[in-house]
Amino acid sequence: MRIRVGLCCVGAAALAVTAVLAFGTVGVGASTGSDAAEQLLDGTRQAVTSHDFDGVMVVEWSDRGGRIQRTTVPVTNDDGRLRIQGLQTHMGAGPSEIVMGDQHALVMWTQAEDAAVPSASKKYRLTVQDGPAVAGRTTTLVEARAAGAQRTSARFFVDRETGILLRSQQFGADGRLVRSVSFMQISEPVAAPAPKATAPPSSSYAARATRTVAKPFRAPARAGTGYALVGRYQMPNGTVQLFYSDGLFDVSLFQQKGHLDWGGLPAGGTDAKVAGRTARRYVIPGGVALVWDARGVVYTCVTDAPSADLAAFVSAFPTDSGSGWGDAVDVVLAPFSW
Amino acid sequence: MSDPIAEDLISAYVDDELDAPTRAAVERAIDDTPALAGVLLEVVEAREAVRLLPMVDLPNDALRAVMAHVAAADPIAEAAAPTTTAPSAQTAASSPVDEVARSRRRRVRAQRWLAGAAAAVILLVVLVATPQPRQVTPTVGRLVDNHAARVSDDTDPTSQLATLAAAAPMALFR
Repeated sequence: MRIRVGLCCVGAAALAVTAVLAFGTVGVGASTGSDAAEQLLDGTRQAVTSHDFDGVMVVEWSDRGGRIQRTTVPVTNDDGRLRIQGLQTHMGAGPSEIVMGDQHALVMWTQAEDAAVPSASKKYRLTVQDGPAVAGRTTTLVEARAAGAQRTSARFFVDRETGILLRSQQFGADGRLVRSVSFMQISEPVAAPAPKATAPPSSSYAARATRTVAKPFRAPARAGTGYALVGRYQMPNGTVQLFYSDGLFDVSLFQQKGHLDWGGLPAGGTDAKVAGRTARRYVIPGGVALVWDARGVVYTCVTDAPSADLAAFVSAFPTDSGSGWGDAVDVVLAPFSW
Repeated sequence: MSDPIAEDLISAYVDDELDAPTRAAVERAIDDTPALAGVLLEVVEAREAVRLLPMVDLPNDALRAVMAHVAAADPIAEAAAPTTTAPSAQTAASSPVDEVARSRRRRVRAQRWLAGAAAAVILLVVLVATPQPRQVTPTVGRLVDNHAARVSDDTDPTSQLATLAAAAPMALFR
């Protein structure tokens, strides 16, 4: 779930922090507008990079059978390094700052974005109000509801003093909890030194921003219900990652040349029909991963977006049709038509 | 592929023909230079394409399908089809002008059949030379990581990493 709505410069960060401080000192009381909500959400990353803390988080998610799964994970944020079990991220200054290591050995290096993240308020009605205590700390609650929807899509509980996101919740169309990530314990956050700019590390799996996406891949500027293309990345093995956002939820669409080896896919998935495509679906704590192929391209879609959004998004990309043999005959004979 | 030296080095790198210091230098250059990473990708893909050149078993009806297309596209061949009827006496006693016209039609028909045969040959060559699409098994767990990393890049990273940590025991990530 994206909780940044366009933070891209120091000025915006300062504005967000100012908003947090303002809410921290005067409280919120009655519901306020979407600008305040966006400023609060924008500030959550900055709040993590500027504070050291330890804590324990609880992750809950609805599995493929609809049962709620629950697990706890310890968190340490120290001098710009956020560690959660075997994962870590180094948060430096500037636009390129994610390194995840240890068992995952992953490097993500962003250099440019295609476009600004759309404003969440274009698609969602955002409200701000006083929230409950989370892990013993006072919060401001930001609630998001899709335009025309009867129920809340997501809730964010932001620490009123520091701006740290203490709890996020996502709900299905029926109002049931789909996902929740929450601090159950957190130490008193301490101001951290300003992060230093970091250089791209050497890695065999670095994904780098790219300006062009060659055929047979496709990169529409918009897809589904308000998802805008924010970034394009290429990995050394040729996989292209497109990154879309609607301001609240995100979709990564990975494209690889070839045909899907269904038998080689990992266990734990279920076959599903999504927007007319036969796919393998994996329910994960962070959302859903969907794998299918069409016209010589293998697609892997990873997202926390609601299922209706996912189906609309997938519809923007090709589906298999026609016969390859017939197509080949037609192509070769076309110049000889008379 | 604008720099042949770079291309040669990358090719040697892919073929594992470089000594350790040169190999390390090439890896550093690839990391630092997106264009070189692109060259590496092209070389790897080219090798892969050659490796995957198939032993083609054409479908049983391949040639018939080609010839059906050729015939369908040749109106003269179609017009000539009802030649099972015997020529009339009037036809047999045709004029020299008719004879010239018939000769011309025969030439045109021959040229068109030659073109059709050429098309068939090209089709067969294309079928044989085109590499079979490779089978791909996405490393789904790693792609999930990539997604979380990208989301974390400009939003609250704790919740993203927490969901990845929770997912670590799943088969997807082993």
